[in-house]
Amino acid sequence: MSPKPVQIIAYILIVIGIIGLAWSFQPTKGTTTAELPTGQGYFGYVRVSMWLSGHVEGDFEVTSGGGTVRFFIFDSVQYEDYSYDGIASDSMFAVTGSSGSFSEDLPTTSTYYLVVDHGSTTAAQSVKITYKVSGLDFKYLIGGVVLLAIGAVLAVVGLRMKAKAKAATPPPAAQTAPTGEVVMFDKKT
Amino acid sequence: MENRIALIPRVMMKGAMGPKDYGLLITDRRSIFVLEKASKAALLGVLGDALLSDKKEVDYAGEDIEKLASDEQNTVVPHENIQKLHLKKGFSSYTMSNAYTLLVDYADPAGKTRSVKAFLVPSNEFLALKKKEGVDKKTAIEEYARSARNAFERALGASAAAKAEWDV
Repeated sequence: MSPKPVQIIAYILIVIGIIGLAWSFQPTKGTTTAELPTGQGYFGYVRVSMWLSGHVEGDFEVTSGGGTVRFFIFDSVQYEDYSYDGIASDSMFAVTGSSGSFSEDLPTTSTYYLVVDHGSTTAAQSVKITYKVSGLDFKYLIGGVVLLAIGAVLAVVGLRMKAKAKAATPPPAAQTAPTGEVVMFDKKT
Repeated sequence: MENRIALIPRVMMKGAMGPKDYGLLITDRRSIFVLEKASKAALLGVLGDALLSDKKEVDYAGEDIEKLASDEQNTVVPHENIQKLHLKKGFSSYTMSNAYTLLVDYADPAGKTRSVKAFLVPSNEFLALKKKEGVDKKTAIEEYARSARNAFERALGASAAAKAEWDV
């Protein structure tokens, strides 16, 4: 196999890997609408996977159904507790209103949840949540590192193949300057 | 009959995408800058070098001179048309080091004045060889330039030689 395709694949993987790494530092923005049906115990959530630490901020607004909603930010333990019985005995952030904003540091590697549930009413409600998450995006980070590593290995393999192929190719018969010195042609050629 | 006089195995010239490596074949009639390696785009670095710039193996002693001269990628300077030739020493912002620069003004077949600027940059093999012989880099570069001067002095006719200026 010719070394060139291997090197080209290596180059492409490295470029994609670098893009992935760069992308992993970009904040993630999103907008979602939680539909809360009529009745008690319904809630909607946005799950945020955080690696190391980061920050989340944004706002929410009841867009139909009126009344207020409760908005929470939970870590995974708090969320598990809340989702069991709907009682928010502990949370990182809590507010009640027909609209509001939030801003909270996400201090450790964990999964966090932005949660809304019925506040002043159990009638059907639509709640628009807009959020921005800053911090390392684990899947892009890992993807980028893996692609970079594979690309680097292929690059080395390609260079070795190239060196091998070069070593196996005899030089042209009258190659004149193997040492890189200026050559004077003695004979009239 | 055109005779080969000398080969300067490596000179560098500017290109739109970065430096280009040439071999300079000097005959008794003309100097032919033979493109060997259209070098890397800066961002691609080592990989760019691997992917984009395979060095051509040119048989300077055996290849047909006319064929080399007629290749559009190569630059040909007829000695009889040389208006000025200067081998100049100085710091090159291009190579970011002290370098000898070959500046040649000549008339093309249409009579228009053309200029060639080439940096005499010895190969790593040459520098390694000289280092092994105990010659420092500065001296090796000077030796390379002096050899180039000798080559031109052998090749140029009297009228062209009179227009030459040497800083080595």
